Amino acid sequence: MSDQGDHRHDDDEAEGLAAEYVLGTLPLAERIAAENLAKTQPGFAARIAAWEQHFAPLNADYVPVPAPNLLPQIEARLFGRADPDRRPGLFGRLRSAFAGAAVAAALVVGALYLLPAPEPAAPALTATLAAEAQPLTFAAVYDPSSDALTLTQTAGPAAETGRVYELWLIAGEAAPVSLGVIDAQSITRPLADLAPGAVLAVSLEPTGGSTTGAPTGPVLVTGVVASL
Amino acid sequence: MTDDTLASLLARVATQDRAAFRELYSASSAKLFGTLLRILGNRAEAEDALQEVFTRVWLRAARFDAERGRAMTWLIAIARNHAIDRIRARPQQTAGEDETDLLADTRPGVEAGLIARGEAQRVIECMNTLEPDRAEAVRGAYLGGLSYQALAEKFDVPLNTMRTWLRRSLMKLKDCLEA
Repeated sequence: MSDQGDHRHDDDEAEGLAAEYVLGTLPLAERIAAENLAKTQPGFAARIAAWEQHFAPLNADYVPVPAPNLLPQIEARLFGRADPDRRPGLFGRLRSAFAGAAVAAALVVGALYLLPAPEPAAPALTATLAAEAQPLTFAAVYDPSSDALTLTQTAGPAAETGRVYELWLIAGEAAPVSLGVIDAQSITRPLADLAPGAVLAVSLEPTGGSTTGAPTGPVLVTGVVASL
Repeated sequence: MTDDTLASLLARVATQDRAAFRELYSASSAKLFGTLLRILGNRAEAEDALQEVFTRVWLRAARFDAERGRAMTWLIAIARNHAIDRIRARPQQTAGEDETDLLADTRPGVEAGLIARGEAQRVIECMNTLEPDRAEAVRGAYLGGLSYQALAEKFDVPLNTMRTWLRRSLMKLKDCLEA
């Protein structure tokens, strides 16, 4: 009997947490805990999905507001900028081969129609960098097709004067490798390889970044890289 | 824009179709921007959040399952979750100011437009089974992203009382919705 009572209690707890997560009232640490639970427990993810459906009719109250065209920035984040230093992809090579020719545009369009369907892209990798009681969060996206890692600060203050945030990659047992200082809200760094399970970390360093090749200041947030 | 159109755009985005991604942006960015603005209460931050939301939409499109819900519901869930994560990550004092502004938007009259829509009837009927101030708290939390702290201050009750109130209200709502 008491066993059943415990199950019933656990059920109510899980249901309440899922409802509160969707309602949005939880503090950040509990939100992150609920998100992690949803990733590992399909049953809990299903509870969240059910509550999203329950509340969906209220979405009619969100009044549409025309948004500026942010597609260029979004595409730059996802697909990288047209960077002359980077090895061009097939499209880039075709484009430069035809550059300057009067018929360039027509030929490129023709060539694109003749191209075989693109191979399925390798899955993107992501990481959310966060820590308990730390307002700072970053989102990282790695696009294997362009060998580029994009890190975006999603919450929290800028580094205090005289300090800077620095990004580190820790693969397995290896020592941290600097991926550079974070000098903008969103940075993109070339990165030849990144595997699920690697850890990304952000530390607080003197302006210009660590001079020792290893983090010298406190590590503020970390995140484990996972495939989507 | 019908939801079927959004669903088929999402299916194409899942195959890395960039043209479909642009169409999806045209078709849904206003609604998502409105959602982000309502919760964040700040245009610059809402623009930044919109970039993050569409980044996630591109990366997660393959997870959308049209048999399990509407495309717009799925998109709004991504936008709401990101906006709420942002305000929960804010230092306490700035959160208070924005939430005061947002309270004005949770007045009961706002739901009048909702009642006209048939599909919203059920949740509205069920909200009406709650005590009026608790229904208002649920609506303010869902639409405006109010925290337990902000709700407790607004209704002048201790934080734990507010949490108990809302938990009970949510369970009552669930029983009604699933009845």
